[in-house]
Amino acid sequence: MDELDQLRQTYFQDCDELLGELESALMALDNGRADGDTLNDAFRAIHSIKGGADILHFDRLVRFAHTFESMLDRLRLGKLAVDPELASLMLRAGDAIADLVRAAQAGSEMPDGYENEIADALQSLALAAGAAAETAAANGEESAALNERDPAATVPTADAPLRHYRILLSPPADLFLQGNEPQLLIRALERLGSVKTVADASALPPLASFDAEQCYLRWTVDVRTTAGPEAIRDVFDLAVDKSDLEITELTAPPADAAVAGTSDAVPAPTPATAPSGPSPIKPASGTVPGVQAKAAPTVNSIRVDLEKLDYLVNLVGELVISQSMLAEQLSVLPTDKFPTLSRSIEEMSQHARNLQDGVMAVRTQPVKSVFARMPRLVRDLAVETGKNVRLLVSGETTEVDKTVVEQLFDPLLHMIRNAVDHGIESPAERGANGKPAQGTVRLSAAHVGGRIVIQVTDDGRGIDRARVRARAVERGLLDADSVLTEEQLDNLIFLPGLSTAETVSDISGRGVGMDVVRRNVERLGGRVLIRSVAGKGSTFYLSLPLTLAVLDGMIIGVGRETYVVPLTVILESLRPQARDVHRLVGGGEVLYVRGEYVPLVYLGRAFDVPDATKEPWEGLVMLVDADAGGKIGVVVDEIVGQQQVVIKSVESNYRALRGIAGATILGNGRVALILDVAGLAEAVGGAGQSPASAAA
Amino acid sequence: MPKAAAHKSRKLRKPDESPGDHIAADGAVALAAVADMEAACELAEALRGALERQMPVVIDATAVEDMSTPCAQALVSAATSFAAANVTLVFRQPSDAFIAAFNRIGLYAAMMQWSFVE
Amino acid sequence: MSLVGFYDPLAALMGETGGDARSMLQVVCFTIGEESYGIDIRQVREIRAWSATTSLPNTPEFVMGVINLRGTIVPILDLRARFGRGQSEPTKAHVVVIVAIDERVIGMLVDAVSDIATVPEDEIRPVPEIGGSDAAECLNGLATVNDQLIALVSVERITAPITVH
Repeated sequence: MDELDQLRQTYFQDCDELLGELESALMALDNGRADGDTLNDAFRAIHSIKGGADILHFDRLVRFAHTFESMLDRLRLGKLAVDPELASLMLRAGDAIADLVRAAQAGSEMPDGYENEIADALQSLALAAGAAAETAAANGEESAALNERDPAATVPTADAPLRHYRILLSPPADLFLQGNEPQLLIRALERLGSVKTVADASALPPLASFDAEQCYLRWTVDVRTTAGPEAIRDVFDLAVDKSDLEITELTAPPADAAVAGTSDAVPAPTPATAPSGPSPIKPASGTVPGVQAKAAPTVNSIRVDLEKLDYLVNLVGELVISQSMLAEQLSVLPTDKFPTLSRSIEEMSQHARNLQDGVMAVRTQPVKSVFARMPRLVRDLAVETGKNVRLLVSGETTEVDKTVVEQLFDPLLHMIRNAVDHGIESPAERGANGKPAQGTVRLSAAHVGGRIVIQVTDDGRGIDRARVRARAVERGLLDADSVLTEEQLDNLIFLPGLSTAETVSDISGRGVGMDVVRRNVERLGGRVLIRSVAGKGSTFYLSLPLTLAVLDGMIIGVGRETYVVPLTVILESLRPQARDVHRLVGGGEVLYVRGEYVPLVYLGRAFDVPDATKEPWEGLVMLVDADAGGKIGVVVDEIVGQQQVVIKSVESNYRALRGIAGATILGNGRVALILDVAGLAEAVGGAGQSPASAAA
Repeated sequence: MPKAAAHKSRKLRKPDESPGDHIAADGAVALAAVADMEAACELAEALRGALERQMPVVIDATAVEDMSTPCAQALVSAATSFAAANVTLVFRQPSDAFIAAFNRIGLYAAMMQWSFVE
Repeated sequence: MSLVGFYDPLAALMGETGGDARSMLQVVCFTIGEESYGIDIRQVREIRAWSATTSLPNTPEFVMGVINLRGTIVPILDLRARFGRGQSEPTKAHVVVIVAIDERVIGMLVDAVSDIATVPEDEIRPVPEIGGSDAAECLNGLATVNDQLIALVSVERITAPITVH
């Protein structure tokens, strides 16, 4: 793609992060935490959004961002205080900015005057503060607030210390031929703070020998910003070789601030480390008390195209398969005759496994990015439904594969909506029931049994089982006389068409029900269920695999087919005695194991495999955890082995199958299906009958 | 910052053309709205020719909207060389973008030493 | 494992144009039993010898199972069964035609592939309305090549039962 497209793509990626930071900051302000750090975070986010918008000529966005930025500037300079009304207004402004960004990204336009009301409100509040209102109808020009030419902007902020960097850029002669335009780099720096650039043209030859394609210039750029050095380095990333760049942090502006009045070579300053030289910028007096200057965290990171990463993961997956094929081929050789070979194979297996772990770890991310959007959601829901709710979050640092993180948002959204809308009662009702007026929703994530489990717990009214049951019967989803356990009743809410809200509020009752959520989660190899206590509250449990790419599996044989069972669901394997197998009256069988009766599922029958062993005592029974289905015993012929397999999709070329989570390619090159035991249990009704009667 | 595709060298000269052909008889050169690398090459060629013939030049910078660094660099080299040879080189009505670019590139000081006319 | 390498459909098409103003369709011809069929070459990705499939549970009769095609899981359909003519008993002599539609890759088991024929598009006749046999509904048209009747199949309709949820 061309440079402009690349620029645009990078900008919108940046905006994703920036909008997130902006919202966090605005939420903090809304919660009464109006400290300098928060204000600066918000200001910086808006400023960056504005800067990029400027380059890409998103004029409307620039104008609105400018107004917003001015307001934030006033706030962080202490010229205006944050009150609840202003905080709410700014949250709305944040939404408006996000909408404008999305519109720009989609190439569409928000309706005329969409943001005007908010912009006007911001402006009038700013005016009321008595500060000179900057013309909000910004001229989209480069003379953006934080540019060196605007003296007002170089006032060091009261709290976050302004850092001074000197960048020496000595590019190679073919800089232009490599496709670089230094002005873009300068502009990017301008987004970080105030910039003063001096070019050294001493190497510029006279016109007679001048080659327009060569770069004869060197630059000294002074940047004053609150950002850390990595932000500076990021600007030059990919464009300029490290060897052509020297970035030094000076604690204070040099005495003879390089004036743009000379184009002679500026003498290189000795790279000053912190303590030497004039004293560091101190926060001015009369600032927000008790604020500590926040040290900018130095995180060494690099942004990587997800495609490149996926390619790597696939390659490693293929490597693992090839490697295991090799191992299998060579396993027929007597190890005593080929000791070195065997050892090498073993080592290679180990390396492949480590490589795989390493590559998978690169893709993991904390769930924080998804969790961070929830407080805002809860706040809005609370306002909309007139309830008083707080959200407690824990375990946000729990890490999962990026692909899984992305899939989390939607189910989470629905579960939380459900909790606030259906679960939490109105303040009046809570008071009447002796509960505190404020309801609590707890969101947590943890690694459990090789999966990630997310819980959404509310202390609301719990599920009204009678109503749910009645509604299910009414809809023909349940026989009037069927007997269900409390748990089964609760989980009826996952059936389609069972929205039982009294007031089908705009947010929850939009027709996307819990059934869709469940289906989507299951498609990922996950599970979702609900447990509830009447009057006390409900808990959603959402479990997902840690990665959608690889799993540790037990290879089992049934008839002439081979299957893989995820290790994480296996509880134990045993060869039962005939006398422990009991037939039930309604059909189906159970196995008596240490005091409990476990339903048996004959895999051979469920999957119509010819030549499967007929009786459990002739084969093996694997006790597995089928989530909502409880514990079941899967009857198989034999256990072939255990290995880590790369998960391949059956769905992409065929379609989703009940009881099948995917497929893999074994060492012998053959395809083996990966079982989804929970789906299997459901499909079979947990009683070992043929699933033909159940919906496929 | 992302990179553009690398430029190909543009040293192709049309046959039967000598430098200085692009400068009108009255010595006026107009800069295009987009003064990119290609424009820089042409400009350098044209100005070189004019300098060889000791022709005074007026560079019209009214239309400039996008001033590239190669182009700015070329102008600085030209202006210096013309001044050294005592041949007149003046700029007419530079646009705001023209001036802003020189500022951003850090060549403002050099630019301020040039002559400007209405 | 493939009998014939990848077809570059575009190249194949280009090769045959030869100045004729008529629009030509290139088809890969194959046989099932006594009948001959043809598939638009632009949809054919590869032709392979039969290899054992891993069966999928609870699938229609004509879905034989899946194979590993260089790392991708590809379902194989028994075209004979799909046409309602009983089930094939595949041997190594049988052939699988790998096709691509939309973004899916699917394989179809046939008895043998005969050759590639070029059919002028204006000579393709519509399928007579005999009444919905499985085979008829999968056909796009009829053509005659070297005195032989070739039934042109629609890959979309053959695969419809498994691609539509």
